[in-house]
Amino acid sequence: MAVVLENVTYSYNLDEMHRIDAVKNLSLRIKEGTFVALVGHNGSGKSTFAKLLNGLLLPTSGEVKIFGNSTLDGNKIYEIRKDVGMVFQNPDNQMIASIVEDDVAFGPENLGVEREEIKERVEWALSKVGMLEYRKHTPFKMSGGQKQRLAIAGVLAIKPKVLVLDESTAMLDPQGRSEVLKVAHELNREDGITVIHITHFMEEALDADRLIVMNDGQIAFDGKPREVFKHYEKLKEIKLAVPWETQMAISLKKVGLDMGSGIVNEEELVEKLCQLL
Amino acid sequence: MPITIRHLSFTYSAGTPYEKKALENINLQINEGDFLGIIGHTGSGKSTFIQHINGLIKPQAGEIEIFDLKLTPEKRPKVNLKALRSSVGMVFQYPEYQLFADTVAKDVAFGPKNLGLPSEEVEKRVKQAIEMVGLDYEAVKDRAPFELSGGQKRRVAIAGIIAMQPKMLILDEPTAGLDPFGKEQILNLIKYLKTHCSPTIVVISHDIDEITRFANRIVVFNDSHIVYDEPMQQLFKHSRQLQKMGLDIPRAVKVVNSLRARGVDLGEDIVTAEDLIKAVVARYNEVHSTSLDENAGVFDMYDFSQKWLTTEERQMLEEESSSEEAPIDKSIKSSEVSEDSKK
Amino acid sequence: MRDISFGQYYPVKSYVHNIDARIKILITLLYMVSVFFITSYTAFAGVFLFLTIVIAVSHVPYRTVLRSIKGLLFLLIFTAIINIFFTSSGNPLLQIKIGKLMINITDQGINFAVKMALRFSLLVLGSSILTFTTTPTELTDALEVLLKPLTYIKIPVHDLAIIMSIALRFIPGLMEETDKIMMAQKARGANLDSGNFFKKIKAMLPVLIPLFVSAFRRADELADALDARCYNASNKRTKMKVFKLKSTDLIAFFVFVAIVVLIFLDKYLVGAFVPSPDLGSFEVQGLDIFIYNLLLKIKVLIV
Repeated sequence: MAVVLENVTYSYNLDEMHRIDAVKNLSLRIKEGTFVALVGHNGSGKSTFAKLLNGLLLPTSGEVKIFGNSTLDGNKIYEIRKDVGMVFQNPDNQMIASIVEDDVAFGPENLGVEREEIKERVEWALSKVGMLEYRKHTPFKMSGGQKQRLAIAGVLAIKPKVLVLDESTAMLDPQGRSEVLKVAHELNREDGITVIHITHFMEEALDADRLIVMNDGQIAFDGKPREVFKHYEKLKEIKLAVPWETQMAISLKKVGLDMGSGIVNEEELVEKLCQLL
Repeated sequence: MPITIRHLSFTYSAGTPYEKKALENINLQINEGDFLGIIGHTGSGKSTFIQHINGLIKPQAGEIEIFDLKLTPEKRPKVNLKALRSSVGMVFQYPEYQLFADTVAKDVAFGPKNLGLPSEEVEKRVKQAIEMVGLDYEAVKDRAPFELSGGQKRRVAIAGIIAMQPKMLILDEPTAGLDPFGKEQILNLIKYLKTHCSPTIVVISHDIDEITRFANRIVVFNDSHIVYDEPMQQLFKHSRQLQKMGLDIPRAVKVVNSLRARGVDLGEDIVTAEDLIKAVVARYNEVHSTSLDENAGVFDMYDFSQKWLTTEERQMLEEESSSEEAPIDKSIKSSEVSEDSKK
Repeated sequence: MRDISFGQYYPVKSYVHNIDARIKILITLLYMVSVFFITSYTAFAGVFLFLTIVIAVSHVPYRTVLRSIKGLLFLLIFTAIINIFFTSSGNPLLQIKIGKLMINITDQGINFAVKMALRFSLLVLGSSILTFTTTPTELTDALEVLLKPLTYIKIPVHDLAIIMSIALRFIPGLMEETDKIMMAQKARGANLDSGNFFKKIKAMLPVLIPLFVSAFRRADELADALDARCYNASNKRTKMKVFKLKSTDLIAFFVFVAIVVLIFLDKYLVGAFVPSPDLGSFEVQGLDIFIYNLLLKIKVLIV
């Protein structure tokens, strides 16, 4: 198992009187090589979940294990961080160096990797995210999507087994979002990296192997995306929406058209409409 | 009175190696009552453009006529910027990052105070503005802005602008970074403001599906020029050109275009989800000789009828109910706003 | 809108830009020291000529370089005047009486003042060539290498370098943010630039507070990003980039060393072999002696 959570609770202390459980008694297992989408509205506890995965936050109770290593074990923390690469939300606040390749090299340099290998890793990571030609550039003029792909390259150079995208698409425009998503899927497919993509856009979960919906610090749904979308009424109740095309099919069905079920993307919607019209 | 922009050009850092053209010979008229959407890439010049309308950037060439004021490259006569800024309200990207005062009420009062209004008037406007953005005045006025949730902070920031009661409101990426539900709430708020606060509204957005929800006219910036300026229903005749520029087209248009490619032509001016539902049902009736109600379809991705509470808000309410005052649900207000504007 | 880098860096390609930053820093240090050893006007002229050539090779416009002196013009004139007024040695040219104070203006005083002004200009011009042709990042990296020996006396050079490079990386972003916040508050009718000093400070609060909040938020996020990328994971940190000296770097260095040698020869050698002309207490130094003698001969010939 790549990731195991056992009865994990994480509480923030607001002040002496108030405690908020951002994650409540959560148990979860993620198999190596899966692409998991984790969706929830703001305040559902999904960001806390992300930070629990590489020991940036430690559980108040319960245990988080990454390939068998508990984040509570102080000696294993760097091993865990090596295994779990994490990309954050704001594309501007993750780069350390002013030049692309220097930034990508930062992780392996910290780990004391040999010079020649660092060079190889930097080249590999940058070509994986399609940014090799920018290796000598500064990131200031890049688009949000490019900056996030660089951030991904930065963690790839550490050679993680699990890649966590902590709302890394939230601040991007639609084009940037699809760029980042494409890279994540490629890494999952070609390199077998386990991806945990945390987002509030349901349509980004479409191609995931597994969709986990969080609400109020707990798991509300867990299954194949298409299965979860069937519960659209319940999803609405927790401030979430199904993809646009699914909603379109539902709306047409309500008027009286025979839309069948299970439409999740444009292709399927167009196909169905062609049959009907 | 319309806003007229003639031959506006602007270059950043002219005469240095960093020189960059941002606007080139822009001509545009914004009419009273326009609900104008502006789209374009980052760096296409659209942000520079709206900063001109508010007098934040002085034109280098060309002129802008706004209400009774005229902005030109000349130093004199001096423009009354205060008057300009009270009539054109500007909501920047991530406006919650400009909140600074220790209470919500004080922050919202910053604009009206700067206009030199008497204190009773300021107070009246602050209350009005906070309520208009769907927050409960009594519940939030003395709270620190930093305690609020992301969506609420953004609404406080917008309240700070509309408390100046501008005749025209410009919003730059008003929904950026919010979750879909928060986006929806802001979109509903903008529609509400159009009828209740500022009759002319300009919105910049990356998300074309968002813009088509309310705009009646869309201007497309590309490479420091205006390339299209069309009524919303007409713009997507240029779908292919827009996509070539790397701009998105609405999902409904994508579906219509794919259907057309496969021999099902639903017509030209379908832009929104509602348009598509209507057209599909009409066609369905035609083909199958049924009489389904074309207007019965609703595209309700979100449910605003519920009381949405975050854990934090719930906690706050519990606290309040233990005191004398009756608990007030702040989010009820926002759902009222959204329903109002749906009508 | 701010751009790629801040400070003075002038982004063109040139031989000077291309010289290893470490060499450039060393040359500049050496240059700054040797400027104080320039004594004769001939040597001043020579060094100015050298700078003119370097600037030409660097493709940075003269106008841009000269602008760096403009800000310091006041200081330059001020020190010159002080020198003129308070040098008492040399042959008096003029006496000024201010109240009870007698001020002698001597030829030596003017000589010192002019030389001081020249030295000052040379310092500013020379060091600005370094900042015009080297990016702040290159400077930090080079400094980290040059200061490396300090780790032996327990100075955390690497951490300092990381701090420097993060600062460099975030300054443009923060400047952009300041711009944005200022615009946003101006749009709310804020008057940011009028009134006296205290009023101004107060008026800046609506800009400063959000700026600080944002800086702290960034710092927080960056700290997470550093942790996530295993900062401090190992004591044996490695470096991807090694500075490798190119032959051109060495050539640049030796050319410069040659010039320094000439400056020292001018100061210490010429005077030792050639007697300086007797002009009272005014001193003619270095190669200027030859020039002086030459001018004398020409004068004699003409007469």
